[in-house]
Amino acid sequence: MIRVVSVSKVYNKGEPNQVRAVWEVSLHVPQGEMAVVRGPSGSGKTTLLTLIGCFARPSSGEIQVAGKPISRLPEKFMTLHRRKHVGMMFQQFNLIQDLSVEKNVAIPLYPLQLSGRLIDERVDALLHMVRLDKRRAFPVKRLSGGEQQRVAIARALANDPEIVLADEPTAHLDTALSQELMTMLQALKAEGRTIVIASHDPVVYGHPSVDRVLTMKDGCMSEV
Amino acid sequence: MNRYLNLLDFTLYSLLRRKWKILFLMLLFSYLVFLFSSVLLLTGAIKNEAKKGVRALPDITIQRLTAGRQVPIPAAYGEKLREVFGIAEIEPRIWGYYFVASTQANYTILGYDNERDAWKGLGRIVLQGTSGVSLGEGEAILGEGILKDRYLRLGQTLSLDTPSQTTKSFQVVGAFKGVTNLLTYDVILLNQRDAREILGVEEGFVTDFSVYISNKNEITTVAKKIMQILPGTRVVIKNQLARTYDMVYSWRSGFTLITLLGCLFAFAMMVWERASGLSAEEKREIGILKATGWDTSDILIMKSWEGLGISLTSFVAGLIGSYVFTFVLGAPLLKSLILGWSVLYPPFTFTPSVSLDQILVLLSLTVVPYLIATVIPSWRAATVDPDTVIRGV
Amino acid sequence: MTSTVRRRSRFRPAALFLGALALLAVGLCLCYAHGIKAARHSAEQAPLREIAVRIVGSSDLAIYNAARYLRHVTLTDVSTPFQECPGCFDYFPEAMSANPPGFNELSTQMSFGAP
Repeated sequence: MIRVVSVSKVYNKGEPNQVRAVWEVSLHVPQGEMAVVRGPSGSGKTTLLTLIGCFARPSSGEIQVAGKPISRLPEKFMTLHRRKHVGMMFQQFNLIQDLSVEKNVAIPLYPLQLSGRLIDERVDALLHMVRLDKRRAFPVKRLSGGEQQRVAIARALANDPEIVLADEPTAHLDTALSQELMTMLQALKAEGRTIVIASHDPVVYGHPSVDRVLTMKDGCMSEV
Repeated sequence: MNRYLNLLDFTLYSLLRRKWKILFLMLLFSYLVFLFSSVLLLTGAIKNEAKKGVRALPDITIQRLTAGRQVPIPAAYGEKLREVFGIAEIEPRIWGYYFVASTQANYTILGYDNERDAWKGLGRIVLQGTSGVSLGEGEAILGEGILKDRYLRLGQTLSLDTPSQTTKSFQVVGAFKGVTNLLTYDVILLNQRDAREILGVEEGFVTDFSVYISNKNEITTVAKKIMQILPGTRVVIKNQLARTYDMVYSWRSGFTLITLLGCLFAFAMMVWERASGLSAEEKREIGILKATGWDTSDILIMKSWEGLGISLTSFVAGLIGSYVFTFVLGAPLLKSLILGWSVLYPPFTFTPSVSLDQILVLLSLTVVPYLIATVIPSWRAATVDPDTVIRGV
Repeated sequence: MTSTVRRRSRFRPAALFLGALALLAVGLCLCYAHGIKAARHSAEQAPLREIAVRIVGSSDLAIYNAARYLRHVTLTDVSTPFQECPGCFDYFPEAMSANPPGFNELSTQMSFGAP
């Protein structure tokens, strides 16, 4: 499903503050598998996720999704690809704090040609899945960390993506909630989605549903 | 269509989060439009009202000046005017002002010459008393303002003082209809002999001459000839009178608008503040939208909805408010600022006269800058890489 | 997955907003209709106005018959309606906007014509 071939990402190339965030990384994640990229802070995990998710272009190398090269697409097509195929859970959640739970979850659906009723139905289903029905009208800033994480999950799944990316999903959760999160991700995997997680949490990379663990250090990769 | 409606929904949800700020902004915007367009509508209406009568004005008015001020003109000048080719009609007029100390009102006294063609239409604009529409000595036709100022009705008696300190009485035989109030409210129509006596215009003199020209294209030529044969006179042609209205009301309108400049500066500061860039929170929100599948055009549509929603709604609301204020309520307060004051002030409502180009100018000074100030900074933020959002930058 | 039944507002915000815009448009149309009706009424009275202008001899409006240039602003001076000099602006606020104080209240007696 996801094939990364010798991908590098260099920020501020040619300048004194040049940073090699990812260097010559290759990996393959078949469809329906769950892969975890572990490594210390600054190892390039997040950058790799952004490249896979089409949030940025690699400086060199190629990324293929379902056999189609996506790394050199024009910005408009990268956005379309992201919109149709990718759901992202951000480390900082990146929710709009003053907006309600249901509006946050619906954000990926607004630019689509869906009727208001269909959007409402989809949001209802997602909130039920993450058990936030009763909190739907609450502004996100009034939720706990675990609840905000669930909102982030619901939003990531709003567009029914084939690929789910999660950047340090358990960073703000305790062990029990982390286990709960992994259970949800396992369920998503069971639906046939491909999941790539960046995390240094042993609860995550030690979970039995994880198919492969890759280690990154200083932008380079090795597999465990 | 669904896409645009969905984006509009999201825009409105976003605006509701800052509802008091947005409400204040819209109120200020509407108020600004209301003020400016009220002044423009009022000025336009009164100019229009004044210009409606221009067609019926004399083509040329001839006055005599001595030491820079108007003085009575010899009636014999009328004979010299008959020698000028192209003149269809010459009307010597007797008119002037009469000041009433007790009420501090100024009346306009006109001498009636029932030989003139012009006076034949008098019956259509006069409510008659006991006699037909002709004016003998000792009779008067009054404007509504005079009737009210003197507490008179048809059939009663009006007393006026002469320069020789005698009092003369006139029976009120007619009153000008209310429809002509703007022109006749302060007018007393007397027989020409009576008018001459009250105003102190000596025999052999008249106040001025009204001249009508056969070929309207020759007015200026005839005016020049008159100036040659009658030196020491001032020759005023019709289009000079019309231009004076533009000047008088434009000056008043401009003066009033200058006093409203403070509001315009407040608005300009607001627009400048918006144009100078988005807040960190707004940039972050745009980044989140991009990261969750929105592209640049979606964000621009949303911001356009926001800009248009606030500015266009406020503009139209302000415009409707100013129309109602000016043409339905009669522009209280503003009317006295623009039109001036008078002891005898006729009641009237303006005929709506809306100049589309003025509305468009107001639109371009308010809605367009606000829209640009909303969309352009957002466009700059919308072209940012979503990668930066993920990094929390 | 089943959806929970929830109470939802009957109208989406976009519909309410567009409804408000439509109301404003109706307001504009009403203003336009009012203007047309008033213009028609004014046009019907135009012949009477013209007669009045012919008789009075001026189309100057009777709304500042106590100003310095008195009633006939257009005839007081052809190059300026204000008497002092060509292009002079009128004094503000008197003559333009506010009544002068009543001269009857002045300490020195002033009289015009017969008392």
